[in-house]
Amino acid sequence: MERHHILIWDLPTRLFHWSLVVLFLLSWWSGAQGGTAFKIHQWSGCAILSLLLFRLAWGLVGSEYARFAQFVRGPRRVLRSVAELLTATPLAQAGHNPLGGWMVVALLLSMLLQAVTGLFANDDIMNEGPLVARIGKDLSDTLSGVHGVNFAILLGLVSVHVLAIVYHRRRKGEHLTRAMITGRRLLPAPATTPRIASNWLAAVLLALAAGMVAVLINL
Amino acid sequence: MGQHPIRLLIAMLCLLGSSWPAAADKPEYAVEYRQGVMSAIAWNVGPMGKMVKGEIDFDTQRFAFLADRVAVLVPMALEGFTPDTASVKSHAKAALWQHQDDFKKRLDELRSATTELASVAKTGDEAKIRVTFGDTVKMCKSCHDEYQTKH
Repeated sequence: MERHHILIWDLPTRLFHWSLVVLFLLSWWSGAQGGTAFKIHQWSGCAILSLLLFRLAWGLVGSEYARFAQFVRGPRRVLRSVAELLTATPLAQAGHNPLGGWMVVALLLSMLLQAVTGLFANDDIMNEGPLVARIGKDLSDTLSGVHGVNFAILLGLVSVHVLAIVYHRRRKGEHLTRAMITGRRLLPAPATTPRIASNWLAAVLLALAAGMVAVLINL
Repeated sequence: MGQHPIRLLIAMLCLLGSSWPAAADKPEYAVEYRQGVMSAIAWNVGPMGKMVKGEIDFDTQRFAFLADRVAVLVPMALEGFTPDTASVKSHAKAALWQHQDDFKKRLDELRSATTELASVAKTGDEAKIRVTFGDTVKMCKSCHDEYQTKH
């Protein structure tokens, strides 16, 4: 069958993904440093929260393959896809496969929980999130505990995500990393070209998200 | 033989007093004590952190005063980590009781570091104070990561 390079990941989705990678690593590093590197941690966390809010909105009104409705599937569909995932042939799906779709949801939720608990966390030394004063020390301690435990979960999810990409490359010959850079995948030509939303809309949504975070941390 | 009854009473009371069980023997009190000292350390580190972060004006004299205080408080905190407190519910991880020598070593190092921080602060060299302070609070954090739990 004739195959074409089809644009499935729009520019905003790709920028979101790679910014998140950089900020995740930056947060990890600055969080482990603590002390005076905390400013970086705080800044990076706020940037991540803004990106996540943007991504949630983009999952509702963004391009076809960025929408949750396109890739969040029921359990039966997911189970069926597992058998397909184990074979050596490339998948038929252009966007997220049914199992991968749930990984996206898990990653987004865990990242969101991490960013939000960070706002309320303290390190018992000299640093605290911008909203600690609103909730008191005991609850802040509890949420700091959640921030710690959820980080381990997040690290696990990210590891599985990366390993899955390696698996797709080795076993199924799918270049998913390249697709997330160029936005295009080599696929049998679909009946209709995937609908791509406006970059301007994405810019507006991101600005709104960042504005919301700015208001939130100054409450 | 001419002993005043009041004297006898006082002597008896003293005897009673000396045999009264010491309140500080309870491990719960040791936990409260060390948590109090830790709060005192945080109270003194707070303004230093604010100065380094630029949230309040730098006052190197006050900085040195606070650092000196922390140097006194650190070994005081250690005194509250008695082995009999291992069974008391606190923020101390079980690992602390398995590595008491390491914990003690860390607190000794922290005490030297805070003494050093105080002497650096006395030179008034803000840039150097920032660096030394940054290194010192890293010691706090690495020890918390190792031995303190939030839940």
